[in-house]
Amino acid sequence: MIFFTAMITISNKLIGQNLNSARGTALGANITTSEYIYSIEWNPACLITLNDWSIGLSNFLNTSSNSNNLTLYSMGIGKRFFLNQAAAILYSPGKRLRFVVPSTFSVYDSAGNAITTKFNQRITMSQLYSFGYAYGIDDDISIGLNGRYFENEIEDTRYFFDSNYAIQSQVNDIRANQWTFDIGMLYRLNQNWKLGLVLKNLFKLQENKLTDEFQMYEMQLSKIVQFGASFAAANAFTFNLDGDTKENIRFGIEFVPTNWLQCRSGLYTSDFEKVDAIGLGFGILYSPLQLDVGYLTFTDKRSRKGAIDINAYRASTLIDIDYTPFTADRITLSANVNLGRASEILARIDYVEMLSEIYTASYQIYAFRPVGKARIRNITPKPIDVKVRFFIKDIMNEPTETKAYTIPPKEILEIPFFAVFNDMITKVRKFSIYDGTVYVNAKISSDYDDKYQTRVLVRGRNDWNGDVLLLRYFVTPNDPDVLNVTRKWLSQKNFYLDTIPANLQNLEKAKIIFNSFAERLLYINDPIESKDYVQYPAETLSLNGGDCDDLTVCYSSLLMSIGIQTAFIDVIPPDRPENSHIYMIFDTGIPSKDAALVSENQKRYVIRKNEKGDETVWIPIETTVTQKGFNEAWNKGAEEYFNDAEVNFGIVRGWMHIVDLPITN
Amino acid sequence: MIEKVKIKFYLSTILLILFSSGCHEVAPIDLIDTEDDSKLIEMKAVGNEFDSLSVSSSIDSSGLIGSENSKYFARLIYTGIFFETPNRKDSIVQAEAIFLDKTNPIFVNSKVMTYPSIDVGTIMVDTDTLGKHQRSIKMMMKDSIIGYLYKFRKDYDFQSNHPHQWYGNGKGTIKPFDIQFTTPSNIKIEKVIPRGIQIGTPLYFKWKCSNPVIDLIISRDGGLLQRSWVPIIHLKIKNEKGEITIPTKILEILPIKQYKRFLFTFSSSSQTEQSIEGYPEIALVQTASLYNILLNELQ
Repeated sequence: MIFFTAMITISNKLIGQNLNSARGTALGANITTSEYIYSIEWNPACLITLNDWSIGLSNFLNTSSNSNNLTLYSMGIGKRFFLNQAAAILYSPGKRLRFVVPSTFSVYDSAGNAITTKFNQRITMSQLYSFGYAYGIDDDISIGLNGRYFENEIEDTRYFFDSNYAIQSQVNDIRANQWTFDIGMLYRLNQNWKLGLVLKNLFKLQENKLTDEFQMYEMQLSKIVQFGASFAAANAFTFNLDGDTKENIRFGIEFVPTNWLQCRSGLYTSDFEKVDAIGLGFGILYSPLQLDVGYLTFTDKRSRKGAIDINAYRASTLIDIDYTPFTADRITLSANVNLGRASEILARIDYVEMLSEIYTASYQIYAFRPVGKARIRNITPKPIDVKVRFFIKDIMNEPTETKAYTIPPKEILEIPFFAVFNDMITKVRKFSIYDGTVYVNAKISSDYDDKYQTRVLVRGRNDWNGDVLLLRYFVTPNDPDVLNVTRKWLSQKNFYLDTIPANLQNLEKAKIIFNSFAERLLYINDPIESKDYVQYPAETLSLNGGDCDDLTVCYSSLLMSIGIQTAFIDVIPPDRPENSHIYMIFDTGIPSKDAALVSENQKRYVIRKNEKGDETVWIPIETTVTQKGFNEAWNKGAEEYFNDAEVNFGIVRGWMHIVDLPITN
Repeated sequence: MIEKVKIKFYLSTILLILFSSGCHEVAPIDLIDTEDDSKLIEMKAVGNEFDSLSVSSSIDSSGLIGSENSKYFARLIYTGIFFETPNRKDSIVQAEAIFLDKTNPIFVNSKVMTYPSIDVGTIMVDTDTLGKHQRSIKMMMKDSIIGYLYKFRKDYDFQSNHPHQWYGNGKGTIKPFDIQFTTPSNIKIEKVIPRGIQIGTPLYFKWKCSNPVIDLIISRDGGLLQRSWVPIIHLKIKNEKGEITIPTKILEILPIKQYKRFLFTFSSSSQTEQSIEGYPEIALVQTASLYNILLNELQ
């Protein structure tokens, strides 16, 4: 505080301002919002906004000058590295302030011939080189340092007598140079507010000084504190305010109506009483190229027309080269390109929690059961898609990657991650500790690299492509309508079921459900206009009918709703594919050794392994004869199964498929 | 493919902007010193103005009068001289006249060194008669008489814009002549800041004189072997303000390291050409007010 107070106390009415970019020139206030390599001189901490490689150049046209030539102002290159650091260098041949003290008196040699001299003195102040470095302490705070190389050159015409006592002239060159260093800070208070602070000319390294005779032409690079604030309103407006201990105030506003266009304006004042200068400009973004135009015009142009009273010069103290009491109206053009892949940090891992230890014996299960979860934070103001990867060296071949999760702006999401181990894990004999690494990859949700529009046909909810594997998705045993109806039918037969031995319960329940089902259903063919139409069980129950697909799906759902495992039998006769057909088979739960309890006729049932791996008795059912009752449907199903599987070897030849419907489904 | 096209576009744009700027330099700002009156000054070296035609210190203290007009073979000069040193002030009025014989040049080393002067009888300014003095040059280690020089000196009573009259009674081919002339505005230096010469410090003079042009001759000390002052710089000053600041650029030329004191001679003069019956050349009739200030180097 004492330091700042001291610097404020020593300040007097001076002017210092960067005009090194078209955007900054138009805005005036740019300490918190400067971009690209030009941040070196605005606020080196803003270099942290670099994404990757960045190159740029800037020109200007002095509109008060008779010359209509563009002058190369600066060119530079910057790079972001190590995620939270960035550096840039800038070469500024146009950051040069030149004064000429014209020759006044006439000089003649002894023969009366005029001795021509171009000037009495020529003074050049330049800042040719600068570099900057920024370090991001965290997502919201970054600090930066820059170094700027200043050069003072005086070309002084001197007269002297030669050996013949004739007057001659020569130009003496006097130079001084120094490095100055600034420190900057950028603090993002929240999504809207940003604060910036720059301590200008905090350190100096002076190599040469001008002699006393030319002290009036030496730049006074005194210490200045510059501070700024910006407010990003939700409606694409950003308001900037900068000030410094020299009592200069700048106000800028930027409006971004579209993603590719930015409009800007700024006001410059040094005493609050009147506006010294007005900035106007716009920018066009054609990613990754950013083109900017800025126009700066001064309200008082008296000292800005290329000639000034030397006393006005003496009364001023130059602390910078760009914005001086003599700077003329100018148009600045800037171009900036971000090359390479942008690596803007979008997400952060807040913490990682391992959900359990890894048991080698059941290592496969961790491919499906999360081994841990990562708490991921979206640090951007946009939605992002995030994938989490997990890897343990030696016992995993590749990192496992989760599906993409979308995280809203500034939100946090816990994402479970899995692990697919290789065989090496089985060789872990004793309790061991491994290093696991969790990565996060994020991208802006709306981002895409390319776009192609095409027509997509979306089928109705009941359409089916004929693939029996996909028919399973119509089986809905947990549908409330299905659950209700099976509970209802079985409860009506409770007394009867109580008399049935336990090992025959499934068979009897299947009969009850089938017969109850048969009482209310009639077989109905598919609608003609539908290529293949499948009803959901609730729809079949509601409509009281359906074709073989619908009835098979419905009866499977009904049985599965009470825990009976079922399977589809898909038959596509190779010589008669138009006669393809689906029926079903269900697990009675009766062990194969007790098959005789079901039927003495072995052709009426099928011995298969159920979900638990036990060989049990399965009964084929042809649902298209539902109206004839369970026994007829059983007989028909058994006959078809025997002919298809046993007589014609459908399973062996591959035109008959049994598709199990897991009870866990 | 698309990426390559894009990169070409970006690079082309940058190169276009770069080349459009070329190598144009930042235009300089002229620093105009509105108080600087050195634009009123014309400077020339006078080292070679002095030749044997000059009557030099015999006519005026600076050597200016006459030397610049050496093309005239007859000169009639009336001068008021004020001399100011740190220790004393002197003032006199001096008149001189000479009539050279152009037909008999005197050669030294095949170069015209001077001409002999002729006796034209008695010459007067108003009522004051000029003394007739023999004029000699040193040739072959001895003085040789080469004619006469008319000279008169009296206490200072030089008056500005005052009418005077040259009168000659004639002798030989020269017929009697009577020439009217009027003195120029008298010059008087009223202020000098600083009272000496200092490197890097301009020298300010303020005078009282209405002549439109003031000549300033800066002379160095003639040194131990020479008694006279050696003019080195002649400044012709437009008298617009009655003052002048000699810029340091001019003062820097002075050989201050070798010569510690310099004579600044301000001159307000006027001249006319006259034909004198019997004399084949045009005569110069010149009158001047001179003000000499001796300034030492300030440490």
